[in-house]
Amino acid sequence: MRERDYRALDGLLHSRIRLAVASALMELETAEFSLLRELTGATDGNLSVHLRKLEDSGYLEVRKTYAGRKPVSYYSLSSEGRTAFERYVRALAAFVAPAGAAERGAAGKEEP
Amino acid sequence: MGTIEDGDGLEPEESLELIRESIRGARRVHAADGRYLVAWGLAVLAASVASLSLAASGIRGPVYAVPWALAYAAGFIASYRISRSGEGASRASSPASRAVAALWTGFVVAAAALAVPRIFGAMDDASYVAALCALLGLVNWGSASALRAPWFRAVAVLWWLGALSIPFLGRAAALIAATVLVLLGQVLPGAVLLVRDLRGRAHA
Repeated sequence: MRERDYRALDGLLHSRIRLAVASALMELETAEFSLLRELTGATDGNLSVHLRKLEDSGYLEVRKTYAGRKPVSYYSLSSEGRTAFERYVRALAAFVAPAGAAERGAAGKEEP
Repeated sequence: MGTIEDGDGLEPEESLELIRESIRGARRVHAADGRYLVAWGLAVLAASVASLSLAASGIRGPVYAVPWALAYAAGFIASYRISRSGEGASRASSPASRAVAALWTGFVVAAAALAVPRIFGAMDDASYVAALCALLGLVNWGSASALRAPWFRAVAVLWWLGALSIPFLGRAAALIAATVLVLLGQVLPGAVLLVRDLRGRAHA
């Protein structure tokens, strides 16, 4: 079996929590912290770290507001984040779809 | 591009499955909206049928408001029960779902307010039903935008067509048309949302 070269995958998205966040936001458009925590099953601290990474990379936009006296943060993917997500999914598909064919091809070449 | 951290060991197939699961989870946030639509649709449908029966029996006057009062009460009770359920609780975290809930609550308040002149005879049936249809068109259009469900706009257009045509129909025909509209524009879209949710669960 060929070793896969994961460098083609966006490292910022190739993470369980960040990928779950990006996927959910592709569907929901906007979500607040508590919903993302519920959807990813991550702890507050862990989720905060991953959200910060996405935010620092420009993939995530954050809008902070108040619900009464309670601070609420709404997260959404930036256009750069959406593009990166779509590119990441295309890269994944390229890994998955031709993998069998490539392996079969490689195996075929090895045969005399 | 950043470095791969907790993605190490995450195979592309696993990533794709994680994406599918996350999208299904996100869609479930909107699952309660289908239940709201079906609950309100059935309540209004029952009231429409009851109104139709009263109209057919030649009964007029304040008694005509009873099925609608019962329908609104049933709708509010059903909404409360949905909001207390697990899915209802999680929907409170989605701004889109909160917007939809606010739209539908606004509709019910407006419908109840419009019922007052109707009960006291300042508004005839056709005008009342046409006003409700126009409001439902607005609410469904807003729901379509909030839920990112473009097909809901077709439901809105259906309601607006109803609003335009009902004033030209007779009283009984208007009630029949309203009943059909409730089925097509309320119960059916709600059922579609519910089926979409059930399919998502089946695949989960």
